[in-house]
Amino acid sequence: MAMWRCLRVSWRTLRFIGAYTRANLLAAMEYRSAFAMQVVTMTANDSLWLFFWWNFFRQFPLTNGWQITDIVILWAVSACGFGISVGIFGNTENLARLIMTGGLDAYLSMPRYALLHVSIAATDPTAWGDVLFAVGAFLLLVHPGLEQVALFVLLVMLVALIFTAFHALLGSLAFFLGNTEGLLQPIRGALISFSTYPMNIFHGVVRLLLFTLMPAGFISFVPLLLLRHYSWWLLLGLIGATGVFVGLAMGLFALGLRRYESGNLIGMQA
Amino acid sequence: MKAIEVADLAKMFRTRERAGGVIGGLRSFVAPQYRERAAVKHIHFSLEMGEVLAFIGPNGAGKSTTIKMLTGILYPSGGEARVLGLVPWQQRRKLSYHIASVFGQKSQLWYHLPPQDTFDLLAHIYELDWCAYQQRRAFLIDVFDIADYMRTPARKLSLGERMRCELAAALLHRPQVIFLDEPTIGLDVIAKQRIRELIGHLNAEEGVTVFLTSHDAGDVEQVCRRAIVINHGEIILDAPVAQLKRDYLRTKTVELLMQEMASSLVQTDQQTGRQQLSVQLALDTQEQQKESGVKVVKAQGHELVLEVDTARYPLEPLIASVMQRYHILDMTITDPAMEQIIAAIYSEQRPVDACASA
Amino acid sequence: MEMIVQAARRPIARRLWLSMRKYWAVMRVSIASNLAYVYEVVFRALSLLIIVFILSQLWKTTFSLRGSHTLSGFSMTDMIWYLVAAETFALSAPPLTDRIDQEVRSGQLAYLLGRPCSYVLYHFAQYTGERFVRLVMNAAVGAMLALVIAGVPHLSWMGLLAWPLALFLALCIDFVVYFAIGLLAFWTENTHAFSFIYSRLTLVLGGVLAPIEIFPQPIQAIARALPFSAILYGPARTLVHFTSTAFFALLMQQLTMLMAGSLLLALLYLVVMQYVNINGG
Repeated sequence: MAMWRCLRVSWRTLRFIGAYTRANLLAAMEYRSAFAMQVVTMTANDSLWLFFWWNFFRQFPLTNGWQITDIVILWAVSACGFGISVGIFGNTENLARLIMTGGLDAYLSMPRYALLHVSIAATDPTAWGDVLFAVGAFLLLVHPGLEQVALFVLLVMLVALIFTAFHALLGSLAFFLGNTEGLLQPIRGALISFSTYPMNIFHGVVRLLLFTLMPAGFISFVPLLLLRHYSWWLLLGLIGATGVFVGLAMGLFALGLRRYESGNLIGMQA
Repeated sequence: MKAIEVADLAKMFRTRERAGGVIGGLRSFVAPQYRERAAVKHIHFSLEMGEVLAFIGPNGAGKSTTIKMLTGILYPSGGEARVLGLVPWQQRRKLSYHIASVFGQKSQLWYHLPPQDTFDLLAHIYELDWCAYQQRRAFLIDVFDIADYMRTPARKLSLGERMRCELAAALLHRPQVIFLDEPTIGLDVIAKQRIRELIGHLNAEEGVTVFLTSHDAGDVEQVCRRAIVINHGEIILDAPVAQLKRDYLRTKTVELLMQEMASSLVQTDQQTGRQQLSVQLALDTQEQQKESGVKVVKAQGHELVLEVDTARYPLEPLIASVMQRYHILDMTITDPAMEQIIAAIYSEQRPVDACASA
Repeated sequence: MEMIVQAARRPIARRLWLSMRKYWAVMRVSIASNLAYVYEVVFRALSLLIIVFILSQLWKTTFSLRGSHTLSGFSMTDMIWYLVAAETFALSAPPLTDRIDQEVRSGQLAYLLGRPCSYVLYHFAQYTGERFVRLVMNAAVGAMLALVIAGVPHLSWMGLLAWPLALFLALCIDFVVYFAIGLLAFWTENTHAFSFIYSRLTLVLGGVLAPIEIFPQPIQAIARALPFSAILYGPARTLVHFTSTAFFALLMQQLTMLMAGSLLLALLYLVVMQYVNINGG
């Protein structure tokens, strides 16, 4: 019975997310030419970078069984995950600002889980350019088999959750540290940057960092390993890591919300 | 069951004192000093189902804080409150299915979406039955007359159009209590009128309990039947609007721009030095002149400003008699400002206090 | 009446001096206001640190795999300093296109054109002031990072003196192009897409990831053919590996680009002026 209720709630939540995604997409497509141009621009941008790195790693291949398609997989998985994250949960980027300006109130007075609701309320349509690029690059350059495609779909969804959780964590810091907008930008950029380089070049403390505070390791490296040599344990590990990050994000948000409800936030008085 | 019950509700804000400079910053980091501000101080009131309450006061009086506590967004420092039998800050989610809030200054309508889409999303949010929702939506579109804007993105609508859409959206899930925070702020006179009519209509037809905050006296006069005045976090008056009107809203300020010089309408009494409207002198008897309900505030150039006690001296005959003899180029009639009302209430503090704390 | 006649009588040199002073004042104000944004500087410095760190790790690995101390004449130390120099410039760009786009769209353009001050020069003064502050801050942070990672570089005096000139010309080219793109707001909904693509092309083909000598083929051929290298690669190389022939070639390339860009801008500007005069903004 509890299982049935769980399924029902999940189904309704998915429908909820779906309704918002559809509405946001329709709103973006209102300006058809601008939307198309944004998507094309992002796709072109990603392709330009990949073109450079593809040639770079052909000339300077890394050791330890590095294949040229590896860089494509790194880029495809991180770009797709990022694109999905921003295309569906795009408003997470604005969480800090909503907290500071009291915009969170509107979501709190409605009967849905606030963090989820805030996240899906708005999106950045350029993200679909990243998804388009990622799917194109993966299919055209990696020539994957059917199982790999299925695995890819699962992986990018997990990665999207990690990205979203990361953004939500950063945004929730605003509950405690006040106006952190300017700081968040370089950190977000850093995560994306770290995700698009092979793990081989990082050593020691940095590697540890990339599996903890800045989960670039889970975003691109682990999926790369999985796509090359599938392993149940590794997949479970990735799912576990995703769960941890999502849990942390929800936890920090809940803590911050208590603070918000006391009205004693820095720089905010009713 | 009462719609809203508030007992001894209080809210204290604690802020960290911010010192300037590097040393001050360090000091406040290591040993922070806190400053406490009482936003709401032990207020009591209750609301029956179907009432329309005006919660008025100047800026910073504690109105928004009170609404936030009643909707569960803020938890209080002390006291109790129940909305529809539920404790807002403990059962916020459950309560949110039965209430709605519309903030005049912070638009809830998703800016990039047309009202059509926002309504559909709200149906999802409140888990409404789709058929019932569609009927309800059609009904509200009709009542609020927003059919023309349903597909226009919210950012392209005027403030008045957006407010109507917001109100309609807020009523989709048939809330029993609706909180309106400054719903007519920034609207032009006609739009204000429309919103007020709609609120009144809804209360009459559907029995929605309305909790309205405003610092526009016009909202109070026309829409609400009961008024609570709050200042510095305390309730200083809790009375039917009729009483408020009778005691504090009856003075109207009339500004006239005359073709003639204003001094020609005014005569200065030799004994008291007071200026009086000569038109008046023609109408009144000697005794009435002494206790005149008309005060000349300013008579400069072509401008004449009068303060009229409408209980004692109705406006129409006064203006009619002025028009008969003189040429009025422009006329503005305004209600007293909230600050004046508050001041008037304070000046009669003793008897009013006894009423409010009962 | 007398004052006006007197003003007209002033010699051209003096008039020029007065109008130049105006723009100098604009630049000074821009510098001062940008210095106040301490936090912005910190955040940009953070971005610079992260990118240079990642690239340095990449190159360290690449160098050790190749087993050599130099690649196309660049030692590891040179490489790091090159990257820092390139990123210093790349990360210092003010949001000019968005600014112009906004002014065009909001109709403020017509109002600003009415002021007794050249619209273009006004923006140039503001842009230069802003970019100057950012360059100095980035350079300071970048230099500290490079010293820590790679040690003291082998810089020549000529390189150090020539670098600011190359930077200044690159700055002018950027200004002209981004301004022109901003003016396109008259005709297109989304100028940001164009400025974005241009900036990415400049970064990738302009050599922010590596000196062009080290680019793999066919990218190297493409990058050499296109003029983007004059903006990032050119000045950075001037600092790190100065040769007079390369420097003069760079100057020629930059001046040509500048002239072409200015022509384009002037054309667009004239068209826009006509538009504004006919339609009143």
